Amino acid sequence: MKKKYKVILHVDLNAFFASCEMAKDPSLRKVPLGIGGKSDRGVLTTANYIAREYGVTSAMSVVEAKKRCPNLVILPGNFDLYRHYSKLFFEVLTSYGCPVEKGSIDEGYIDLTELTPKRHPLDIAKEIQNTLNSKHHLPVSIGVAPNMFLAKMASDMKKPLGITVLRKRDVKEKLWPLPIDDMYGIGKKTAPDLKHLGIQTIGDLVHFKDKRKLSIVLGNQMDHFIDKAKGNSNKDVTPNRYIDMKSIGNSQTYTADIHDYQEALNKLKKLTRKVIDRLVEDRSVAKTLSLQVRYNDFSQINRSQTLEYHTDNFLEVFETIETLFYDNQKDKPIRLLGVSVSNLKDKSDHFKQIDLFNIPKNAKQDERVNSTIDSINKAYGETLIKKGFIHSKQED
Amino acid sequence: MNFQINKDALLKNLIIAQKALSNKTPNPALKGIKMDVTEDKIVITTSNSDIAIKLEVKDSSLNVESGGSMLIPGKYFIQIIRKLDGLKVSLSLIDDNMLRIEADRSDITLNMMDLEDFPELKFAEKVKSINVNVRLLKSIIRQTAFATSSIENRPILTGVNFQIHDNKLKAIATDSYRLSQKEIELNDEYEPLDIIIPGNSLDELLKVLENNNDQVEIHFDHSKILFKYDNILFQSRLLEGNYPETSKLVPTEFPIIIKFNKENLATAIERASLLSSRDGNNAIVKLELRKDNVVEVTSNSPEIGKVLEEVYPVDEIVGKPFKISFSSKYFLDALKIFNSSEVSVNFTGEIRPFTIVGEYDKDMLQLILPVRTE
Repeated sequence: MKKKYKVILHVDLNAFFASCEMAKDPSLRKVPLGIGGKSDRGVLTTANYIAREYGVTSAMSVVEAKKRCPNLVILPGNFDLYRHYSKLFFEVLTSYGCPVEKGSIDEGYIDLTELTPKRHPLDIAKEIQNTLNSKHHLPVSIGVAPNMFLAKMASDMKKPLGITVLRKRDVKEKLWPLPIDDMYGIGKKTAPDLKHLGIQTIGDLVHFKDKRKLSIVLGNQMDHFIDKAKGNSNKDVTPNRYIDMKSIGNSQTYTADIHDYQEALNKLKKLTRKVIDRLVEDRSVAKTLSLQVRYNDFSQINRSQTLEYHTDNFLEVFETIETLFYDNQKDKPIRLLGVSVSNLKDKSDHFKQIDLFNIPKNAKQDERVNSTIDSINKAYGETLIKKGFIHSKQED
Repeated sequence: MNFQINKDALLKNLIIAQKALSNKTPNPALKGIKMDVTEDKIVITTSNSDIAIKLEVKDSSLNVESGGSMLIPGKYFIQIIRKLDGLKVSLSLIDDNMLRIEADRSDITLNMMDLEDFPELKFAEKVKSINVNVRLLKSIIRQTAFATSSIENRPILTGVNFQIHDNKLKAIATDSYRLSQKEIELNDEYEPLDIIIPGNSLDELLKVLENNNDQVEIHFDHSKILFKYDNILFQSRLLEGNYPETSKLVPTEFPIIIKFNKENLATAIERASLLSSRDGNNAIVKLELRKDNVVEVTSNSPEIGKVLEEVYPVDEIVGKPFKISFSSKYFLDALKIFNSSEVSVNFTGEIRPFTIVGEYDKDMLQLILPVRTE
């Protein structure tokens, strides 16, 4: 078989949180909009492009943003809304039947190699962009490249609504002049260290001679970064990578500090429920459960526990979270609580080894339920019925 | 101290003594081999935290010019003796703290360890012992010790439970995911007994015992068990605590019984476990009894591929179509130790334990817990 270049798109939702609000509420489309802090002590997570014209950026404090743009509309974060649009976004990407990897909630990779003999990748990119923009009012910029790294870098080059092609032979001209801070994977900590070595641009990194010094900064990732900068990277678009690496978590900062143990527990219960709902929706199971508590003096604890088995059971997870919370109580008012689960894997690959000394009491009943479900599914198609769980009535 | 002995006779005993030699130990003296030489014999002693071994060497080649005791660095001594040329080796103590080893054209001097640091070991032989045929004891160990737990969070399960009632000896091992049980008849009747022997000790004992029809004398008290065999005293500590009651956990009624050719079933499961993304050989396979009475063994790893194996039962099947998933390792471990060429697999339900029994292994029971798939 002839070796051919891969065609990978990186599709990046522009100002995603703000775009979601604008998609939902047309009246917001013409005004400067910021998402973030409910009060003056917060910072913005996102600003729409109108707000950006006033010099408002993400991570800017609310006070500062209002100074620059007095008529800025500020909305609190609404993750349920973002998840809804994120789902619509990935539905469009997966509709091409090619491998899709979730980069995060607002970006994805799609490997179009299979389709390219029939269709030009630029046409597909335009089609994706148009579909998302006209159907869901979600602006995206797209990078087209032979590997994931270049695609990611390319999608950043023209925003919003850009489509940028970055071929390997363009690397010298288009990629190397970029400041090293812009290289994907080089973070806020690493960039100053590299600049200290005299590396200002991505090109400088490629041409840097003193490998010994460089390896002190980049560690065992050094060759990896240099390779990427040269345009060589052969990471495949892996649909499940998201599951392998990521965690699912919800946290909330409370307007009034929490003083009462039982109240904190109720909040944790709500957070756990949200996390479990997302976990179930993601068709994943988790093994490591974590609790985050921030007190009103901004001191913070993070505690986690890894179970013997993966689970998506609310009671199992909450029991652990409750124990973690109980074991780490402090006599201080609580400002923020967070629950997250990690060590995720696909539920279809999930097995629970039964223990001789702990055989489920309801084994008989469970078996009957399972066999009924199976026979219905067999008769009417693959997964007509699945096992669900009962939502306990939420207390407020 | 000064003596000569046939090199191979010495080496053979040292290799046995090595089983109780410590490599990592807070007490460095336990890295040593203690040797007591008297007129007509050498006594070799080694010990680690689990087991202690004492050997009496009375080889016809032994020629003692003068007796004495010493503690020899075990690792170096065994390596040296193993590599020596010549039939005979001559050992002598010089300057009170060095061992001179001479053989053929080699002349080696090895620094000795401080004999006083070696602990006093009691090898407690009781008046009344239990006598078991070596071959039988080996088969008991081989058929149970593999099922012990290798993780320390349930220490009791790292051992094999030996129970004696009248003339029956029952050995049980389980890591709580599978259980192996063997019951034999002894030649005599004995006092009731219920002890737990560390699985690791039994693994080492297995290497020391030869395949013959000699008798092994078993002596024990509340904390130690001693196996006396040939010129060997092999002592192990016992695990403290009560072994969980397992007899009630073994099902007695089986609505589904399928008889297989052992080899056919084992190779089908082995092939099904090849395409597994799960770590180690811990693949999960599914076994399904179809309406047409053919058994399907399948596995599916979305990112690698899937396997379907058809296995034809060798006899009339009892029961209705049904399916169950389990760890292939537990099933294969269990099949491996059967002497029978045909085995019956007896099921009670898809998330309940199932057992494997064989016609020529009437004294043995293998039980496996399935996995629950979501």
